[in-house]
Amino acid sequence: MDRSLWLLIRLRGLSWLRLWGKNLRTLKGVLLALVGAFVFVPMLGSALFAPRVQTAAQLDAVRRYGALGLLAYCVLNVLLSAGDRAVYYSPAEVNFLFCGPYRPRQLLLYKVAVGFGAGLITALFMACAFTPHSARFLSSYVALFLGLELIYLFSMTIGLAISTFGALAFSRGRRLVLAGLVLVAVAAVWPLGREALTLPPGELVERALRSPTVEAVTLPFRPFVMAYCSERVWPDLAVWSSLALLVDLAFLGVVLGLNAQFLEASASASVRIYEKLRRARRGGGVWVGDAKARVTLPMLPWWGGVGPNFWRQLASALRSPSRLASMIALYVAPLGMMVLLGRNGSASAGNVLGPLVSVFLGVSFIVSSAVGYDFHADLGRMEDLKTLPIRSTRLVLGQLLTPVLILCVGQWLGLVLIVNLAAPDPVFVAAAVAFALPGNLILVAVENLYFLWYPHRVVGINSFDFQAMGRQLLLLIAKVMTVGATAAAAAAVGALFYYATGGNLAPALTAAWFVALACGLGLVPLVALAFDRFDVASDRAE
Amino acid sequence: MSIVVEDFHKSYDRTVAVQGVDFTVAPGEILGLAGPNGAGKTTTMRALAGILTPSRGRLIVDGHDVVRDPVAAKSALAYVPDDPNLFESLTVWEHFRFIASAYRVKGWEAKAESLLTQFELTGKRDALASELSRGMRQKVAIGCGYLHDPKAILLDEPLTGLDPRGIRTMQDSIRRRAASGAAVMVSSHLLSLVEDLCTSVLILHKGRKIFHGTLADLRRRADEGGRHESLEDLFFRLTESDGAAAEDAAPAGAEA
Repeated sequence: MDRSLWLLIRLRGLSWLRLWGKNLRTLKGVLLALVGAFVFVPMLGSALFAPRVQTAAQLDAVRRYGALGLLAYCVLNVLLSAGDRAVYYSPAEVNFLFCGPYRPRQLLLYKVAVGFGAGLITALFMACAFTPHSARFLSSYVALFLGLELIYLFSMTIGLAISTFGALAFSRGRRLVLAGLVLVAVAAVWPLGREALTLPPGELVERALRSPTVEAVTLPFRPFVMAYCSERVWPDLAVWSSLALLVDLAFLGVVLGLNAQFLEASASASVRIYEKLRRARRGGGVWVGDAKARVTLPMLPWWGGVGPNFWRQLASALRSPSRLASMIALYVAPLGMMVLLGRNGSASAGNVLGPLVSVFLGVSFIVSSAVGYDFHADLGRMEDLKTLPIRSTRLVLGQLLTPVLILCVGQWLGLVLIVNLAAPDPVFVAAAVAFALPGNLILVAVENLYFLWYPHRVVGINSFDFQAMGRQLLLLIAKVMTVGATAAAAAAVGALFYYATGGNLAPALTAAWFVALACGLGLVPLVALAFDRFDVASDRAE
Repeated sequence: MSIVVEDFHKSYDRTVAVQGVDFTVAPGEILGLAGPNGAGKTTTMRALAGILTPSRGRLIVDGHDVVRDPVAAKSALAYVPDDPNLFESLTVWEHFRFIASAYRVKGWEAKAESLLTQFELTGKRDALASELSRGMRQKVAIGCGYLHDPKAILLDEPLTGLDPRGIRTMQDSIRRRAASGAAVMVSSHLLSLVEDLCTSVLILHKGRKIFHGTLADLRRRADEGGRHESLEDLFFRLTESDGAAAEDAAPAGAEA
């Protein structure tokens, strides 16, 4: 690789440290870094020194399914890609490097080197999270790092293959990959014969995974999994990680061997991705660029000023089905875990319900801050919103209703699956359905309230930024406390009614529901006040 | 000739962006590239810079084919896009340092200092790119482009975001580069810039060349038939009519 590209990597690394140091020169920066460190250091400490919670069964499950999971991730990456994937370079890299005196291979090696550095840091964070469930920290770190590089190189290979053979060939290739997957599945199940029709699904999957076809297909991915599960550094980790490294190097060889004319595809991909990032920095969210005007939503009534903004946000949401699907998938995904637990017989429907509800609440907190179609998406349009001839409270309500609706739909769909899998008490289901609306109104209102008080842009936060971590943590704590206070108020009134009516649940739930709704609606004027006080003259977003 | 473009075609799937464009830019010449949005100006520049691969034709920079010998061609070239993106976390000085390393510029520090002074960026030497205004970023990008004394300079809308003083500085710098032997191509929507700065003009419309000649040729064309049109009126007339018809109507002496 050209020495100037090494210089660029070094300069960018140093600039990152410099930026970090610069932020630490302010009191706010120090405090936020301390809060971030307060989270990260114990996380790292527990990863390194806390007793392992992994069990032999967990590691065994990783050994059995890990390679297939890694393969599935890589294949899904191909199947779900837009068809014009390319190796992404930042606009500055396109400006300076693409018309600079470099050969394409030098630019590819530069990209690999940058990915290598990013992988070293990302794997550290991932290892902290995964280590309690792995054999040892070192195994976890090495395997995750090599696995990340594999995913990165796999994606690069696909991007370059598309540049070499063209998008049309890629579309045909996707069909071939799909056909190949079907063939592998058939080859895996074929030896079972008629037995395949009678076996329970769990047993069928188990037997298929042990078939020689699946074993052969997942073979290159196995060293990464075995490295992760290595309990001894020598010979286990050393041998398996060396094999994993060889797989990575083989992919690197393919990347460099393809020698594709990727500059043009990368330059146009860079423009598209950068435009999305710019929108996100303005507050529009990275998904907005994917929107297509396929759906025309009739204009909603005026509704005292609530209608126009509700319509605008709802129309935007309906035009980004992929985003909506991903939000809803966040609710549905935990059910996959439940299926696995149920299949292994380690949990009954009843005792899965509790953890599932916790996961649901956690997901709701995450989705409420990521869903968009509220003030997050309008950070760059605050001037326009302020000039609308609509009273603030009504404008705010119009802004909040779309995310509330999206959260409700996600939760209701999730509940349908819960009912099918865990058969909970019908009263629980009815209450969950009813409380979704006021609960989500509270959640979204609180999210927007804090956002208007402390606007921030999530794009650009790197994984090692303690200050950003600290800010996110403080906001999360404030959000949990506020939502918790409203939930406590509703629960207290509900409990009062419960005892006053001699243990009758219906009036207690009804009273709690009204209190929750009142809390949600009561937050709207507060959000409106925050909106009124939002100073567009100084873009305070960080 | 420092820049030679022969039978340049560029198409994306079914969209033809540029078709059959030929022109040359000699050392010392400042070619103004004009045309409405979507005419193919930026595509032509990006192809010359080696970012886009031509569908057909030859692009030569300083005697090197951009497709066959890209490194040699790019070593002689500077391309500054209309919206220059800098490395946000690098300082202005570090940008120069990187460019000096990439193009193997000896004694770059003195040149960089001189460029900082020329573009009134001395006070911003250690500022991060993310802290610079739009106009300053433009100046840094052009300064970086000048650092290795390129023989061919491609500037896409170089005056965007500059204040009046910045515009004058930029125009002077372009004239000086041309005077020292560089072939310069300037793409702009501002016809006044083309008129003030350029020695020759290439007008593209819908990917086709509809006028190529000196500024004097263009003025003659405007005065033809006693019309005495302004260049702006002529530009509108050429680009609002069908490209082929306009090409046929090109004046004698002008390459069309």
